[in-house]
Amino acid sequence: MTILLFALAAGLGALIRWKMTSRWGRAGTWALNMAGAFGLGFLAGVGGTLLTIAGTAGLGALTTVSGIAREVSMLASVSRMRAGSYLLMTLVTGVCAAWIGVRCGM
Amino acid sequence: MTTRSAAAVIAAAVVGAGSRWLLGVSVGQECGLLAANIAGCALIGWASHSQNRDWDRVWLTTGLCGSFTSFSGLAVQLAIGLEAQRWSYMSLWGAASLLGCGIGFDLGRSLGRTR
Repeated sequence: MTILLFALAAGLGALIRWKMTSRWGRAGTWALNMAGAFGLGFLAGVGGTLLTIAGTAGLGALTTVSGIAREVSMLASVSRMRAGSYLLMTLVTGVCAAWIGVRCGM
Repeated sequence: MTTRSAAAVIAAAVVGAGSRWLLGVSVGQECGLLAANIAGCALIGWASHSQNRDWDRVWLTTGLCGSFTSFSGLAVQLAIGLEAQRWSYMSLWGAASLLGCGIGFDLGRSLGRTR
């Protein structure tokens, strides 16, 4: 049952990300990364099966580092300044979102 | 989004997230996540610059690479370091992730171009 739920959560997370990034581009990736970071931070203290299914599978598949790397690379081909700003903004806001999630989940 | 491409993305996402989980269980959550993020960036660098068809790219980039890597995991590791005020850990983890992913992506891109 856990494996099935894990697969469902991972598949759903990836589908939502695909849909969002197809529609909203970088803004979609950013929004999902922030939501996922907050959600995983919130769940961080829970542990166990719920964290594995919702956190590792669902939120893990919802968010992406490789997508950011590709977007930064595409931006860098136009402007290194924009690429650096996007990367820095994503990292800072992501850590803030995760930190708020951790605090809320305590 | 066709049924075929959606099924391919779902299947690849299950493999990606499952591999990340297995890696975390095998070598520890922190090292596993770091390795998955770097490897995923290398793979997407290769996939984005190789001559694959669009259909291949969707399952490989969005499904596999996207689910193998995890921004939420990275952000939470840094946030936990921030909460515990482990500044050196945060700096090391953040630098390793940034540098590793950047180098991994460039390496993958180089391999994709020479194919």
